[in-house]
Amino acid sequence: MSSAQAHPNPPVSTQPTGVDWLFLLSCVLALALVAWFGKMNYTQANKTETAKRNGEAVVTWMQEATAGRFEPDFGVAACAGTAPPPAGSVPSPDKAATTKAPNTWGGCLDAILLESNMKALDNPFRDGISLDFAPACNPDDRSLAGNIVIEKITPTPPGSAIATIISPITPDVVIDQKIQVRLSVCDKGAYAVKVAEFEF
Amino acid sequence: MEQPRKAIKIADLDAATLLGAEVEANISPDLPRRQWLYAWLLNPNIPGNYQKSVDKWIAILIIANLFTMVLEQVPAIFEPYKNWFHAFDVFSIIVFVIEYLTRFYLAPEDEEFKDKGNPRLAYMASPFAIIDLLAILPFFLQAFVPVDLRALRFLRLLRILKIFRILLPALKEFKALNRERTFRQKIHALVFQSAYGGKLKEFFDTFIGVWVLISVFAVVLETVASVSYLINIEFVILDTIAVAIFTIEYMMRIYSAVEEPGHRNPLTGRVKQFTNPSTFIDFLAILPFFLEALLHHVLDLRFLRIFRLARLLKLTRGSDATATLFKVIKREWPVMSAAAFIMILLIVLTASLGYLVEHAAQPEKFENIPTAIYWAVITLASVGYGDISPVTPIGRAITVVMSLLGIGIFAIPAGLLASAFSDQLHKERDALKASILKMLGDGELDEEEMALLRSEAKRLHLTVEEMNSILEVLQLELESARKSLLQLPVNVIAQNSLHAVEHYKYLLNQIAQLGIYVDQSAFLEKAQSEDRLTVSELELWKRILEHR
Repeated sequence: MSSAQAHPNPPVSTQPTGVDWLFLLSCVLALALVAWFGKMNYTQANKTETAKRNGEAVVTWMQEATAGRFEPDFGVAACAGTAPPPAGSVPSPDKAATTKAPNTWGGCLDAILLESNMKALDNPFRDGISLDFAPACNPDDRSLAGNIVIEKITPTPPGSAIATIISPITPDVVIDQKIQVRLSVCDKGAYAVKVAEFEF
Repeated sequence: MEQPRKAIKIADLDAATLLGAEVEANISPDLPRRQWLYAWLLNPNIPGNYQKSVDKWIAILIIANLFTMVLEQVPAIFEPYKNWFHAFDVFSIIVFVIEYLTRFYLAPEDEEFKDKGNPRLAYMASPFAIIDLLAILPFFLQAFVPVDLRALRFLRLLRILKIFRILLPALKEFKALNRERTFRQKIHALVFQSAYGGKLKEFFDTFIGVWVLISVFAVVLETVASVSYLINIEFVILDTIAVAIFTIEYMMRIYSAVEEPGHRNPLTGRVKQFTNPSTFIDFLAILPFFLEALLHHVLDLRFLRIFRLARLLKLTRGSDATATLFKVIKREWPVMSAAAFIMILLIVLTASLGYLVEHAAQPEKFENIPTAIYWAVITLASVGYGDISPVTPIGRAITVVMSLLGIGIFAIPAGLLASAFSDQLHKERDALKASILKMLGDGELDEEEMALLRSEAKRLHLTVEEMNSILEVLQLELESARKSLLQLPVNVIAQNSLHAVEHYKYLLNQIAQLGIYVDQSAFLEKAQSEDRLTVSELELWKRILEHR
């Protein structure tokens, strides 16, 4: 609507009046409120950033460990994989009987947090609580915020509508073979933020 | 003493001038080189030269520099494109240096400096020239003196000061326009359309528009995981700045609403403004930020973020095309609602039929009528996803009829809207013609009327050709009105003084034409010999012929 026809108010004073100053004050207060809320959002976003850095640290460790974990003297024994037997060899019945139970993902992830340099990492969303793994991020359970989630990527047959299937890795899944995994962290709303996909 | 108003007759009206269309600058190529260059590039008083374009592109470059300076602070963006940033910086400096040198060279032609003892020195000492120099100096400084990168970035911020070359004149104009007005009226002039906004209001609208686009672009990019992963913090900062700007704009709008016609009461006027759709959109644009910040401990309200896209609707404020569309929808609402009713009826009936004949054959697909409604809509709208399709012969026959009906039924609202929109435009153009005719009641258009005409023509998106054809039609209509006037009895003509004057002019013309075609000596002889004309009548005849 054009205000060319706006009612002509006789100017009382061209200087700001008391009400004008009140308006200016409310503007300043509104800006302060926005800045305060902005800072709160920034703090929360920073926590998500820290969670992402934690995830990246785990990714780096796991990627570095990928090659070595099939060697006999791998440092974190719980994550050690089973080296494939040489082609054509026949396993002796005595040796098979003495072989210990295969490592599982649950044991490996616990070991990563306890034995590797990851033990120094904290969950940014929960003060004083150290980093933990979760089977999946779930927005209904916000206590999962800051946790790390590792999922298995299974390629589908060529021509499928979706290229891969993502499934959770339960703690009892055996870790003896290399698999493709996706590592995510749960943000403040416990939504998954993908960090990386790699082979472990 | 009041200045006489410059008036223009319809026959002299030029559509291109009226619409402010590009006119070719009238600059003689024989001018001395410096004068010629100044006339083309920097003289603000020559219409059709490149001065406005130069200013516009320099302003765009300054704003682009501001954006690159902000983006350089984001390593995820800066690092991969470092070379491009540097190239843009070099390009900007080259342009700014050329601009500075051109202004320096042409200073003796500039009205502001030409009367000074040494115009170029006077230019160099002027505030704008100092700002221009500060904008380019840091770049050269780093070539000769090792400067800390942070200090260099800070110095580059000085480049932004160049924007004052555009802002200050606008501010000056705004002050002049609002000299005797209150603080609230000034705020009103800035946020509402009025005759007091001037260029500053245009800049304010552009500023808000740019922030709307930035924030909407950010909302869209936030959904791209790979981008959001890298610059999530920057998105948070950007949103906070956008909300701060929109909040202040919103408060200004509510506070100064009482200056709007019909909003005089401080309380009800502001409530009325608050409930106004366009102001409510402003409110929706900032609401998600506050709700999310207030309730983030209790609820995850990130779904509200998508409502930030409502900010795009802010751009429709002041859009006459949108206003016309709403007007059309309102006008055609009864017809459209009838069409919608038929559509709903058809959907429900066909869905029920579909359910009836297909449920037995494929109970998992035609599970119930709501599922069949989905199938009916997809079929009637000619979308045809194919996820639910009939298998029985009767079902297929129904689908054939439905598809054919759907083409017609779904096209009705679209056709209605299109024809009503075109009709509305015609009506508005007719209204414009009527208003020109009214303005031409005195046979002329003054500057105020021309300005009104210009804004109306702009609102209706009239091209020079269209305006020309309107003016031609008007000329013909005026001519025809003049002719039909002659058919009226003299006592009727005499009731309108303007018509009486026109009629008098017509009669004088008729006498003059008679004088041209008649044999003068025979006429005089006849008039005098038989005493057919009195002496005074004969005298009047001679005087009319002398003066025409």
